[in-house]
Amino acid sequence: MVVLKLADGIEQALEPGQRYWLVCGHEQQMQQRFDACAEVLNALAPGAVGALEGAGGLLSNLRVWENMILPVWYHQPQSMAQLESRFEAVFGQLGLEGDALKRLAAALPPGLDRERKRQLVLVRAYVQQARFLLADQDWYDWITHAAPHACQEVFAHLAQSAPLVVVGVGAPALSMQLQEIIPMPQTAAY
Amino acid sequence: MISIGAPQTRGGLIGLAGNKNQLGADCQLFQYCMSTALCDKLQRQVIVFAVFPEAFPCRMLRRLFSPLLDPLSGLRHAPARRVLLKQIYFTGNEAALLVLLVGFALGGIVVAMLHGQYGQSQEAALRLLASLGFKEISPLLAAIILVARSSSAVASELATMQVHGEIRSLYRMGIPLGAYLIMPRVLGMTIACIGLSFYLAVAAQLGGAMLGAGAEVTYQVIEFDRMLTLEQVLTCMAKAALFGMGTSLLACHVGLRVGPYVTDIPKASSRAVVRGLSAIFVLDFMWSLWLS
Repeated sequence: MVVLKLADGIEQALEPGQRYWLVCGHEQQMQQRFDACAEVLNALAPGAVGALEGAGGLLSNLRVWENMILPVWYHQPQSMAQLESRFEAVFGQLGLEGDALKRLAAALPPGLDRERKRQLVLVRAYVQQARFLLADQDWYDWITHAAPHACQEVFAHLAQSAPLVVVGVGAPALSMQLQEIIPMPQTAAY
Repeated sequence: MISIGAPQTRGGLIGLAGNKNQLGADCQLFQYCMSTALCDKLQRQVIVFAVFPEAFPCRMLRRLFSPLLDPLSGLRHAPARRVLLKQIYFTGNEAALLVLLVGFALGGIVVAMLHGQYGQSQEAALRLLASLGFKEISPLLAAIILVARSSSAVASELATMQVHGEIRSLYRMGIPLGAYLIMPRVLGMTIACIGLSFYLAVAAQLGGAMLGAGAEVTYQVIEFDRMLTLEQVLTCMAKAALFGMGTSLLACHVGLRVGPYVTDIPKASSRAVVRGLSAIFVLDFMWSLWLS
């Protein structure tokens, strides 16, 4: 169990398999809290924090394959074969193989649509073998309501072994099925 | 917490008994240098701390150079090394042919003018070209080419990343901006500028020799060592390093200081070129002032 402790007084014990909702007052605060959470979690597990951003969060000057391995390659040097096998395994689950996968791996992110980018950040978290998942409201909304079934399965598998923190504005929708919520100091727990 | 008990001080060494992990945490309090290798060798749970009375200046120096050394330590990560190599390739290798052509033509023009219009002998013209080329023209021209080709590219690349929130994404992945984005680009452009300046100076010398000596160019090439001094070559490299570092830092600064709008990207690109060119001439002027 790990304690997420932010500078603005928020403190929450995180347990694998649990999902948490970090309440923010507005969009700007949401971005700031996402950054703060990422900083804290990256200090605990460098290269093993899956940042799941609705806008994509991929670097436009790197190819998809390079984007997928960047965090784990930077923080925990591993053999390329190992990373490649994980990359292929997760895309196998998502139903993409062969030439189509090669084309995607060599593509640059600006040419991809938003849904594909959202899938790719999930793939990146899988390749990282993320010990923590950090998502924004936008991405979590997509995975719970609009993502293909295969993506939801991959996500469910990942979220079983890692705590998930969703950073969002206001109270979470009931349909999101978040089990625990981190209260802000001035608000009550939902 | 370790129990220090009565530390045995012998000739500046203090022996402390305890578990290695415990000592590792506690030793920071003492500003001691730990020799775990020795401990492993002895196969005992004893760690030897060496007391350095000069630890204070060491810390001072480390703090002083930390802005430079901390990003450099990023080179131990493979992705940062990859960015560095890509930068050297795009800035150095891809511009090499252009620089060789420019240098060759420049050498020919300078020797033709000195020999034909000012009546200098061929050898004197080549000697002057070596002095001018290595000490002044080559670093300046290579830096101008570098600014035109790469400063704008670096600034627009970083500005695009900034506008599209990719810098923030990097931060969220726990990848430091200085070590991954800035340092490899600055180092890569500096190395490329040194290489390009050297190529340009050598190509100019070859061009001058070809134009001056014609068919007897081999003799002039063999005689290069008489015209060139080590000081000229070192000046060329030092100036190139200064220009390369200055322009690349400026390009990174301009690229990362853009607003949130897409229209800021071309502005950053042109700003990097204009400021880079100004910086080169200001630095060159300051270098001349320093020498005089």
